[in-house]
Amino acid sequence: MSPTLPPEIQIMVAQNLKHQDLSRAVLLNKAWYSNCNPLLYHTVRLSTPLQSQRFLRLFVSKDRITRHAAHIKYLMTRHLEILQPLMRLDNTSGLSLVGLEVLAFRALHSLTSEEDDLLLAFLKKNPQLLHLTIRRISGNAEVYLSTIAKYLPNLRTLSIFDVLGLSPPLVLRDAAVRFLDTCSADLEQLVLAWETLSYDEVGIDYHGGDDGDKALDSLKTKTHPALRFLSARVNSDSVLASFVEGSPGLKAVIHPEFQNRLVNTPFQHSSPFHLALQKITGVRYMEHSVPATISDDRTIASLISTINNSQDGVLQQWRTIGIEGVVCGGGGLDETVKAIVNNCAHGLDERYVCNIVALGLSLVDQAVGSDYQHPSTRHSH
Amino acid sequence: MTVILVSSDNQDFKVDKEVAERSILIKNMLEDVGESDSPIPLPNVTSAVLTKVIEYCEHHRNDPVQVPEETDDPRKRSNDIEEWDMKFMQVDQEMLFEIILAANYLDIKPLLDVGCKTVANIIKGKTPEEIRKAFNIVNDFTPEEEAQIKKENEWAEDR
Repeated sequence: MSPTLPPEIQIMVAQNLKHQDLSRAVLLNKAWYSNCNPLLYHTVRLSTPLQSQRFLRLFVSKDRITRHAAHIKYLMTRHLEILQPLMRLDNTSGLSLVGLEVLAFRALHSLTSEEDDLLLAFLKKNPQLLHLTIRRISGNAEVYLSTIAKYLPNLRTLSIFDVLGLSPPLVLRDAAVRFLDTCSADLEQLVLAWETLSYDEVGIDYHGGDDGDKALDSLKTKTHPALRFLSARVNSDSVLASFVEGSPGLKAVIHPEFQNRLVNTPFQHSSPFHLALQKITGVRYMEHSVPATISDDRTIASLISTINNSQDGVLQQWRTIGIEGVVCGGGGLDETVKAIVNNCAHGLDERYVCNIVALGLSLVDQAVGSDYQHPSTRHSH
Repeated sequence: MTVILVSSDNQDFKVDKEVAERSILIKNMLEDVGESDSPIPLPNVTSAVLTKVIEYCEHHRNDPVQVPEETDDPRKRSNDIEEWDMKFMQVDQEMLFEIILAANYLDIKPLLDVGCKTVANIIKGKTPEEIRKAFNIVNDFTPEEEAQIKKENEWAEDR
């Protein structure tokens, strides 16, 4: 007679199974079912309409859904109608979501107004949420920002409106500042995307004078000591600068600010955003963008060659070098890459050369990513 | 320095202290007793299983101590098993369970993990009936109960 596995080990086995296999393991016998079925409901991921339909069937009987509701901790769904019956569950069901993710919808990037209503109502009813990801954008972006700041005070991770290949939603600068000022102080990861507008730009007659500076002053008191990761696809540097200053624990920042830049501005370290970063890290993060109008390998190379390392002793680290135009000339990117390696190597060691992001055509990325060799190693062959 | 482990069937195993201390249970025992030559009885482990467990501990004697993962998110777990461990786990199902139980009792977390992953890998892609057969599990559901659970959990199916 072979031994049986005790409950805690059945659970450990089940933790190594994906949903499909787990749903079969709980059918083995009553012990497996009672030990492992809660794990199946721990993370509910509904990506197809059929999955949503099948899940909705649970609500047909109150007994059925209440048996499982307390186990649901993470809900990832593409179809928001699922939120309606969940909201109707009373407190006895024990439903207490830890995380909610609204999955991306290729056919429907923007949330409909019905979906907005449902989602916002759901957020208001779930202040215990620690993790929220919304992979779609909304015409009511500002309402989301204020609702999240007001009703979700415990959030640790938030990712909102950052949808690949999609323009971020428009929000008033004031609303953006207020959001950063009032959002959960426990945030550890923040991913956001928005395009801020001033009152002038939307034609509102605002009597508060320079709204930006005033709002920024009030922001400086707010800190986010737990924040480790920030990714911000936003157009305004200064809105974020004070926020960054109040986040001394930041370990990684993604801020492709020069996506929207039109002119060649090699030294971005004087921007408020970078000054803020420099303040909390003691490191000056360097970015350089070569505009599309400059397209010759040698010209780009000589441009990059003119960038010197720090003259005031502040440690510099290169984060991004962007080349937006098509590079012409027979040698491809050879000269440019050489110039990058020779002049920006401070903080960019050989391994990191691969990480140089070339926006636009990703040329440097391709060149260094595939078979580029550091000049020093090349000579030795 | 060596210690002597005694299996349930009264066989002595002389192993390096460093190897024996892969087991947190034994490590704590040795710390409690201090310097002592007295053999350590392991009444829950047979000599056949203990032989395997010692083989594992010998191979992994220099591994860094595993830091417990902070994440409770089951999705973040990796199913990768290194090659030596994979070969080591190619035993019959009864021995596999015995090793897991021994790893649990002796508190050897990496071995327990590898054991659980091995069981999980056997489960993968099989129907409930095939899994039951692989592990000698007796189905105590009525057909109605089984059908009911299957229907309730249908949302978890990939299609």
